[in-house]
Amino acid sequence: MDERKYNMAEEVKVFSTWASPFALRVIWALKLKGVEFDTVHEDLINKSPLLLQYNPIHKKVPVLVHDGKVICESLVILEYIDETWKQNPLLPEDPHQKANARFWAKFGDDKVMQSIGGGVLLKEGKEQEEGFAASMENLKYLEEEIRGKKFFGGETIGLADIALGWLAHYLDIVEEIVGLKLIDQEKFPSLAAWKQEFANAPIIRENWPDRDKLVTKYVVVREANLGKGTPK
Amino acid sequence: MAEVKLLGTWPSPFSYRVTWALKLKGIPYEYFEEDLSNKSPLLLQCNPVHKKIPVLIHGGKSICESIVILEYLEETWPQNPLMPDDPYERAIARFWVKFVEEKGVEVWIKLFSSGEEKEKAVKDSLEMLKTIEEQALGKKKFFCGDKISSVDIAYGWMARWLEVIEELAGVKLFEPQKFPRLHAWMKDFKDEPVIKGNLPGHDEMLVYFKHKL
Repeated sequence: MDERKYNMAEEVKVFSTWASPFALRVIWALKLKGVEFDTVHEDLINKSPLLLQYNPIHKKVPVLVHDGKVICESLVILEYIDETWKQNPLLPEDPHQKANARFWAKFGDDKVMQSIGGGVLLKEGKEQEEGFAASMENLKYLEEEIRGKKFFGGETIGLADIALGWLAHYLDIVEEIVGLKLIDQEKFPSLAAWKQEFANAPIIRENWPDRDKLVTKYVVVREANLGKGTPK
Repeated sequence: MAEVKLLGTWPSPFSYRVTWALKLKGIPYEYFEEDLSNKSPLLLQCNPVHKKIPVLIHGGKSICESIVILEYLEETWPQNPLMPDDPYERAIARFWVKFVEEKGVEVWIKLFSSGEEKEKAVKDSLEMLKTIEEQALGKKKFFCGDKISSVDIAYGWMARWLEVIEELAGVKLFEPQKFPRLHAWMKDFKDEPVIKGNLPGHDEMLVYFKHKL
C-alpha cells in the first residue's frame, strides 16, 4: 500500500549496495529523520545504466535522487538531507560547532579510513605496522574529541557520528581479519564507549549489513590487494 | 564584532582561498604569515591535529581546513553570499568542491613522479581538466553562475598555481584551445578585483617551490 500522501508526494530514492558504509550513512540519515524512501540495490560488478547516468563521474554509490534531483557523494548528500528535512537535525545551529562536525567527518574520511583501510586491512608486514601506528595516532585524536560526550554530536547523533559510524561495525571485521586490536578499551575507553553507544542506537542497530558476509568480502579484498604486491 | 585572525603562508593556495573569501565578504581580519619550518605556538595550539595552515581564529575559537573555513565564513557572515541559496544547487557546488579537493591534490603530487607513474598522472590530469571544462563549468561564466562563489575559490589554484606546477614538473597540460571555457574562466577569475589584488607572483613561486622539490 502506498503510504505517501499525494499532496506532499515526493520521491526519494537511494542507490546503494549491501556492503557500502557510505550508502549506509545516507540510509541512517533518512531513517533518523523519518523520511520515506526506496532503495535501489546495485551490484558494483554490473552497474545499472541508471546509476551510470546519475553518477557518470564516479560511478559509485550512494546516489540520492529527490524528486528528480540527483546528488552524489555521501557527505554532500548528508548536508542536503539536513537542509531539506529539518526535523532531527544532524548539524548544530552554531557555526563553530558545525565547523567542528565537518572537520571530524573530513578527518574520518581523509585520515582514519585511509590508515585503517589502506594501511592495515590491505597491507602486511612492515607496511601494516606503519599503517597500524598511523591508525593509533588518528584514533588518539578521536578519543580526545569524544571524551566527555555521548556522541560526537553531543547528546544526539550528528553528522560526525554518521560519518565515523563505520567504526562501530566494520572495524571489528578488520580487527578479526588482521588479528589486531585497534580500538582497545584500555587505550581508547571513550571511543570504545562511543562505539557501543552508536552500534546499539535505535535505527543504527537495525541497519548493519551482515557481519559474516562482510568478513568474507573483506578477506577477498585483502587477498586481492596483497596478491597485487607479490612479485611474479 | 569579535576579531578575526588568519594564519597562512604566502605560497599556499589553501591560504589564499580564505583570504579571497574574507575580502569578497568584506570581513576585516588580521593576517599572520607562518613559517612552516618553525611553526608558531599559536598554530600548533589551534590546529593540533594537522598542524597546517590555513587556520581561522574568530573570537578565540579556531577553525581548520580551508573548505570547512569557507562554509563557516558563509554561515557567520551571510553578506555577499558565496554559496547558492537552494539546497540542491548547494549540493552541486559542494560536489564540485569535493571533486577538485580529491583530484587536484593527486595532480600535484603524481606529476612529480617519473616514468609510467608520471605518464598516468598526465593522462588523469587531462581527464580531470576535461571533466571540469565540460561538466563543472559548462557554459557558465563562473562555477555557480554569474558571480564568484566558493567553488571558484576552491578551483582558484588553477588560475595561478597550475602553470607553476606545469613548469616545475616539465609537463604541458593546459592549452587554451583544448580548454576554451576554462581558459575564459581563468581570465575572468583573475580579473575580479579581489583576486587580482591577491595573487602570489609567478616568479617568486617558481623559486619557492623549486627549492622545496
